[in-house]
Amino acid sequence: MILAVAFGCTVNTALGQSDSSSIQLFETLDQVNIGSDPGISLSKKAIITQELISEVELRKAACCDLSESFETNASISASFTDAVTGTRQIRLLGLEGPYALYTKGNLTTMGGLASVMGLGFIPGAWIQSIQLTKGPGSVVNGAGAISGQINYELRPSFTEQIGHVNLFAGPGRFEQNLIYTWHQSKKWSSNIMVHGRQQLFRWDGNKDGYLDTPLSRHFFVQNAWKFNGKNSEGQLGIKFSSADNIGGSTLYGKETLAPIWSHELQTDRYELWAKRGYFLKGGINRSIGTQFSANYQDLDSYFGERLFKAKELRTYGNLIFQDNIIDTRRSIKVGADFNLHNVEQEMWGFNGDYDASTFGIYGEYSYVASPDGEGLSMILGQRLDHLNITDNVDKFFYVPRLHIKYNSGAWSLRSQVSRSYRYTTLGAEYMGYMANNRVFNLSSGSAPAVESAWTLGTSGAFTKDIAFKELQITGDVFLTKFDRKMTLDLDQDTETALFYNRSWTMNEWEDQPYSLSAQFGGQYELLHRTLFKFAYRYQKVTQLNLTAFNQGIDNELEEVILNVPHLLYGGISYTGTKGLGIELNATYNSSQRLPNVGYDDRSPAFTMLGGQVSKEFRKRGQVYLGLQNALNVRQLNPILGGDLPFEDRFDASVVWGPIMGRQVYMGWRYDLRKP
Amino acid sequence: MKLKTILAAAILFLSIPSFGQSNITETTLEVDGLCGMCKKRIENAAYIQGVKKVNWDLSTHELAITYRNDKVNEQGIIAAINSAGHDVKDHIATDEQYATVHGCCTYRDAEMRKSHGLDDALCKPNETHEEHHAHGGKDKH
Repeated sequence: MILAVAFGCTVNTALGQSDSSSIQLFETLDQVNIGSDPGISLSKKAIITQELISEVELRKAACCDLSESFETNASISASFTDAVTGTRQIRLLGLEGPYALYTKGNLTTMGGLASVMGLGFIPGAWIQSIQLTKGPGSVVNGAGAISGQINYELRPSFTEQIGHVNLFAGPGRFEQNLIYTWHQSKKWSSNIMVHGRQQLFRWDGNKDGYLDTPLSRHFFVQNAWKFNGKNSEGQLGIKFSSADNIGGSTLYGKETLAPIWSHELQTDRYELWAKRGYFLKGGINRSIGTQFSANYQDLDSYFGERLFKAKELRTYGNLIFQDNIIDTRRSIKVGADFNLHNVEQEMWGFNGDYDASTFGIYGEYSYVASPDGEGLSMILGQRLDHLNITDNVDKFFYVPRLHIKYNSGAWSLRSQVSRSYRYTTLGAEYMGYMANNRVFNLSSGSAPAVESAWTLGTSGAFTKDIAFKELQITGDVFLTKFDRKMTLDLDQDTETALFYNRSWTMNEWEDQPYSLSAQFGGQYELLHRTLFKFAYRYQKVTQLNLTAFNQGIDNELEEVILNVPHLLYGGISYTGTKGLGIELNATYNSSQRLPNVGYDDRSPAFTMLGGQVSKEFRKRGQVYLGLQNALNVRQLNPILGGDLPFEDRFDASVVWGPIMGRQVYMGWRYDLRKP
Repeated sequence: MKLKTILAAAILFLSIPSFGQSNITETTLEVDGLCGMCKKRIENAAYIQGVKKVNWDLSTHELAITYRNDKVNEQGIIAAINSAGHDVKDHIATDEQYATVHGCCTYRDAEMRKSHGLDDALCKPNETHEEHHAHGGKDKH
């Protein structure tokens, strides 16, 4: 209902908004609801459980990149992978970042080398909106997305909002974002996005002799083009990202008597993409589309005495045909895609190189009983992939997925049964675990491991006007059962990190590791112009107990470390008539399990409290001032054995809470519109 | 005992809408504007204390509004819309008020209206706006 929508002032608004693949054009158009924007909204028409996080919502937190964009959302938790690199990884349905699929306008973007750190390469100020899908989504986007899909739309070039500036300053941290649409004609438009980030000051609030956040310099630049023809649509773009980080001892670069433990990471990433869609004659929704992307990344880093170097080349292509059959209520998508992936990794004695190629064909049938979404809707998708990984895997994978939705008045109920699989990239995905001196025990080799799972999910949403204001209540339960899974175990002792890849047969389904997630939440404008939100989330995530396994017990499961079983979220958001905005957010995280040896049993529970005040001026943009971690909660000893960093016990990889204490930040945003 | 509680809850629940009806007014106003940004501005301006629901339709220019008539009246809502720079039928905003709308939302401009596929403005270009405002509701179009 409230209203600070930053969409362009234009007849083209809807078009500019749905800056996604032409194939998804119709669906995305449906979801755009100009003007009524509660921040997080549920699409009544989407058949798959989805939350749309708009720019309004993104502005409510200090979000600086994609990994930090979920602070006001209970579905996703973001935590540090370790205490030195400053990398945040998200967890969705209790599963780590690489289990999710990341897409930009429905085009697959990250995987392999960038599957964890890549989120840091998407500046928040570039993002127009995020579509969060829980559980596996459409087979058109591949067989991954075990935990879900995060689809982000960047600011479009076909809009009257031709420029955007966002300057941010936090403790020692500065960010600059500049977006400018430099070309607009009837058919073509193009914009340039630039992002700079610097962490210039050495910050050691907990006085442990290690930087709380790495010194860093990031620079990203992107140029994207969009074409709107009579019967076709196209997009292409290039992006360059460069990041330079220095972490570890505060004495880096200074003369010291004893050797110090430090970390440096330098990486360059080049991306190129193109999308094209044609509307064919003879049918309202008959269209054909192509997607293509290529990226190259070069990474050079060390963690104390450990060297980690990597190079990745990835090319992806997808050809999609869409049409209605019989009538507009039934449609099909069929297509074929490929993903070629070459990774070279050098990790202190391990060979992490691999060549993986995936070729897939798919078909998806959807049925919608009525155009307004009432009644029954369903999507039945299937794909068949051939995956080849050098000297390791040469196999076909069959991936069926079924999504059903039933809408009746205020209620919508959704259910799904889905198959999904992925392969791991040993080095990059576990980079946080390099920040220790544990010996990597790879009993099943260093080649990529295939992981596969079945997901059962169901969700319900209830929306009704009560006293003329919309009450929204949602709940969902998801169960992910793995029949192939890589297990990482730190429980044996403080010197070892055990990796083991195992598969389970159908008969052993009771022994399969699983993730169970249940969430319940709601929102209501209880006071005039003040939206109240709450959510509760329960998560149980288990894995193979490797300690028991090594003693001959092969079917014991244990709780994974660093999972938050109970999470409570509450938020209050006020929007004034004169551009004033006040946000208050609180998240309670219950205690997390820690490794068995060398740590306490469980971490303490903690509450994160934050707030933000913003004021939008008629002509001078918007200023914001925020407070993060108001209660000054900290994990005081995020680095174990930091005084003797070259002993086996040194470990900076077990981070359960915030490392930085209370932080104040401020910034300024400005939208430039066409005169 | 249990029945009593259920009954009490049911009465309470049923009484919510009836409680609302007595002092709730639902009406529509014709408000001039061009685009999505205008919609945002109009709805934001009209959503004052006492107003329960606002929805401005871009194609019909109708602002559907639900408010508590014991807390706010139509005049108050119209004044709020005017002060955000938008013309309401029979209540034209002053030139100063109109000047505050963004350059891309100049809905009185004939060229702009044409490019957005709109007919004549509520405020006629050759008449002085001040006069309109002074006449207020008496002026019949």
